[in-house]
Amino acid sequence: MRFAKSEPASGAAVGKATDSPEGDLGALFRVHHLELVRLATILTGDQGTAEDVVQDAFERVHAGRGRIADGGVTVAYLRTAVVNGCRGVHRKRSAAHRHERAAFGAAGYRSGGDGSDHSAEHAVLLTERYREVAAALAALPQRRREVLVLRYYLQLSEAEIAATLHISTGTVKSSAARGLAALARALGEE
Amino acid sequence: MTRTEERLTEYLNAVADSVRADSTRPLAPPAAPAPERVHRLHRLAAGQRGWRGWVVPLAAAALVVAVAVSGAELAANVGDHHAAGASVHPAAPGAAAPLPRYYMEAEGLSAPSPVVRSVATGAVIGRVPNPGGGHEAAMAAAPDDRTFYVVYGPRNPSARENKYTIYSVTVLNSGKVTAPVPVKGGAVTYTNSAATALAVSPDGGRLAMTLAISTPSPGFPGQRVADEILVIDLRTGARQVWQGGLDQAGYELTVGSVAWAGDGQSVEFLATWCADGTECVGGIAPSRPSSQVRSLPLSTGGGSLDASAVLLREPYFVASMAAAPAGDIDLLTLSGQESGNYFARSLTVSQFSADGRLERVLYRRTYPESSILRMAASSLSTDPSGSHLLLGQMLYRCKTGFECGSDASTIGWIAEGTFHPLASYANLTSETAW
Repeated sequence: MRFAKSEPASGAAVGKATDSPEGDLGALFRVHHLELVRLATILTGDQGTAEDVVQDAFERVHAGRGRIADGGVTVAYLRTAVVNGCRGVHRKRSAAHRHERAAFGAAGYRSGGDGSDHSAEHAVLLTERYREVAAALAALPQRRREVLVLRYYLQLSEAEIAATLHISTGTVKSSAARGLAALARALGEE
Repeated sequence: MTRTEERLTEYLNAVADSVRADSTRPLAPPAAPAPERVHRLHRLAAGQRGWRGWVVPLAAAALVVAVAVSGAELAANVGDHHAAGASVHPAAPGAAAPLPRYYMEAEGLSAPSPVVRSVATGAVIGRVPNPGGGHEAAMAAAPDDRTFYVVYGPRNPSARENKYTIYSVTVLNSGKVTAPVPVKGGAVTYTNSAATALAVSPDGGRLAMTLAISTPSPGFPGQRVADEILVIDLRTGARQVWQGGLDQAGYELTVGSVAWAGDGQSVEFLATWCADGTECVGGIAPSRPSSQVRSLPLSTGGGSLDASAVLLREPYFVASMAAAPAGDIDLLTLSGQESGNYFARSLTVSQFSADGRLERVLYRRTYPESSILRMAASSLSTDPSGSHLLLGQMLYRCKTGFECGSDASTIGWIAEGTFHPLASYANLTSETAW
């Protein structure tokens, strides 16, 4: 049985908190900010929320600087913080969804399966061309959705996904396989 | 790439491309007033100095609470075993047997490649590159203390057709490691699959490999994943396959680990069930967090996994196991470290008899909430005598609930309840075999 591994550096422009940590963090920010906002937009469906999540991630990196022994500040670390931040958004949306249903009743309430308000979703999600895929992806359990996004958007390896999500590579493989199978089923492409 | 993958990739890229660099708003500080916090990310981008540390977000604290609950549940289960009269970490049977001379671990993250190390010195004595490309998927050691097997996956993990090739390497008397040699019957191709575990029979003549495979299923609207156990005879290349038969209504079988019984007549595997369409990540299935160790007699010649019998039922998630052929002690179960999607607070290695009775707890480690270390995953293998356990612990060094770096992972062997660390790839790996 194999398990996830991680390493301090992944890809280019990995800053290590050494001589000029803020300068390295700045380089990290310049190179990866847009990519991380895009990742968070895919996961949350809303660019504004995504930018908040990414900002929080960089704040955490900054707050933790010097206390992350040996590993330095890594892109993988930022990705993990962004994914976790997106989960927090979904949790809050779900809580708000439950609260709203309790207060106003379920009739007429419009939301996604995760409690998100589709009116706030990015416009591209609702274009007819991608409606089926968007709906099928949104219907996946959170972990499988995250694995597929990291694999097919960021093109991460299984080991990198495992390190980002703090799960084993075996779980990455099974989540990807099950997620793809569910997508194929939903899209009528099995 | 399948049509589904193409459509998914196209959709994800479309969403991403719609976020333009010039469309992102300026990043605001999270809290007032502190003038120096204004535009700090802009200053960060410019490489300026003079920031202050910021407050840890509340979300991190919330996660810590969730982990603590999981840890408490686990501890309760361990306590149940102790109540049944088990002793804590006496010497394992046959402890006088010499330590293995070599062990294998995977080096690298993006394209993991196995290396063979000396137990005595920790030095790398050989590397095992894949002649055909691709990445390592599973590894196992033969009982001769010099032969290792590696499953290499496809060069393109996203390809619909997944070709797996099993290679062997041998440590020569000179201490050098041979070039990898493909084993007879060790090239298999599946569709939409993932190789997950590998084990060598006690006589060294057979391999058992587990795979998760997406297959069309009659009567089921679309594909579903079926876990499979494949046994390969290394002398003839003949294969036996067991698949399916253990899914339950609404639940899919997941085979986590595989090992051989001491007599070589059966394969033991770790089974958990995930609610269909839900997660079974890290151990807690949403509806069925139990595990079973099952014994599959090879005399059935292949077919359905329901030919297996239950050896052990655990009310909690068992992450990994290894078989030890010493005496009547036939099962070693690694349990307790995975109790959720993130981290757990304890790790317990327990030894069970073949009839499912807990014999002893060999090793236990706890990670209090105050500790900066968190346990995320683990692996276990045993030497041929069953007396020396090799344990890989994937540890994260955390400063909050999930702000962690995985540079604290370690592998080592267990004796007398003590963990003896071995050299590993920059303390980043937990996968290992001897």
